[in-house]
Amino acid sequence: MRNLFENGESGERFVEVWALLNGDYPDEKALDEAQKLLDGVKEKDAEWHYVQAAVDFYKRFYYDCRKRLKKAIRLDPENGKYRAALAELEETVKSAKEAGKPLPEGKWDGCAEGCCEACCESLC
Amino acid sequence: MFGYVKYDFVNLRIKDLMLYKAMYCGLCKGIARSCGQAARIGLTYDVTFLSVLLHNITATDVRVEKQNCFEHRIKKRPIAAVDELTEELGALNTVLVYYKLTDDILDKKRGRSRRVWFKKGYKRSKKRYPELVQIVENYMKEQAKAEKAKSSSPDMAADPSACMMQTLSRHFLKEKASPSTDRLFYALGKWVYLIDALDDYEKDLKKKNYNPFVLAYGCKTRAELMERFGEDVAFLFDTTFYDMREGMSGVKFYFNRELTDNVILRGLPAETERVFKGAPPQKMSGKL
Repeated sequence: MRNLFENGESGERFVEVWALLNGDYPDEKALDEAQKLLDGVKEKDAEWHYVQAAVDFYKRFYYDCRKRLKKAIRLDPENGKYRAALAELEETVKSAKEAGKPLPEGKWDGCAEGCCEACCESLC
Repeated sequence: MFGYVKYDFVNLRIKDLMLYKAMYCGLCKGIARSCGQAARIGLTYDVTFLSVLLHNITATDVRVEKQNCFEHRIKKRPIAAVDELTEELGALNTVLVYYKLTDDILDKKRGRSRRVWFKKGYKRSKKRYPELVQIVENYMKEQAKAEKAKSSSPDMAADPSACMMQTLSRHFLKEKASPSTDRLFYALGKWVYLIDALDDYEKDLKKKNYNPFVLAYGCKTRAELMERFGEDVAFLFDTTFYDMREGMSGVKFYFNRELTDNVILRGLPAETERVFKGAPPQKMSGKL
C-alpha cells in the first residue's frame, strides 16, 4: 500500500508524533511512544483523529485507521486531506480483494493461456 | 481456533493434494515422535499448512515415502518423512491444543478430561523446545489480558494472536525471516483469530464470553450483523488478505508454491465467505 501518511504533518501541534512516524517505517518502540504522546492530548479534534489514524496505519490496524479517518471527516467535512487518505485506503484494500477473489466453481485457471484449448484439440 | 485454514479443493491440482496429504500424515508422525502417541489426536489442518509453508520458505526439502501408519496398517501410503522441522511443528501443534483446552477449562469449565491426552506431550515439548513453548505461553497471556480489557476493536483484540504467529515465524525461519514474512504471518494469525470470533458470534453472545464483534456492533445475531454492517466486517477481513498478498509478494519460496497460494488466495477467502453466510463447516474434499 502506498504510504498514505508519508511525510505527514499537522503544524506545530503534532510535530513530535510525526517525527516518530516519518522517515523509515516506525518500529514498535516508536509507535508506543507516538501513542503515548497522542493519549496525552486533551483536545481530540479532527486532526487528532487523523494523526491517530496514521499511528493505526503503521500498527497495521487498518480497520481502526478507517474508523478514525471517517471520524475526522465527520468533524471536519471540508478537509480534503482526510478524504484523500480514506479513499486511498479503501481503494487499495478493495483492489487486493478483487485480485484475490476465488474463481467461481468449475472455472479452471491453472494452465497457461491457450493450454486447455491445445489439450482439448489434441484429445479430440 | 482450529480448522479454518483449508485448501480450495475445486482449484487444487492432484499433485498438491497428494503433497498436502503426505504433509498431514507426516505431521501426525512428527507429533508422535516429539510428544508421544496420545497427542496425535490433536492433529490440525492449521499446523499442517504451517508445515507446508515453512518447509518451502526455509528450503527444507520434503521427502515423500510409502509408509504404514497407525490408522493405515495394511496399505502403505505416501507420507512426508519426519524431519527436525516437522518434529518441532508437532510439538507446536500439541502446545497450541493444550493451551486451547486450558482456555476452555477457564472459560467454559469444560475440556479437563480431553486435556489429559496432551499433558505428557506438553511437558515433553516444554523440555525439548523451551523457547517455542515460552513464545506461545507469553502470547496466550497477552491474549487473555487483551480480552480482559474488553476492547471493541477487532484489530486490537486480534493483535496478540497475530504477534504470536509473527514471532513463531521468526523462530522457525531464523535468518530467512524478513519484514515480508513478518507481514504474511502476522496477517495469518490475525485472520485465524478473527474468523473464529466471527464464527462464534452467537455462541459468545449467549454465553457472555468476550467477542470483539459483539462489543463493536451489538447485534442479536450474526445474520443481523452481516446485514447491517457486512461491508465493515468485509473490509476488516479484506485488510488481512491485503497484508497476506503483500507479504507473499516479498517472500522467497524455494519450491513450488501452488499449494500455499491455493490455501492463502483461495481457501481462506472461501472459508471467510462460508462464515459470512453462516453456513455449516464442511469437511475438506479429497479424503485425508
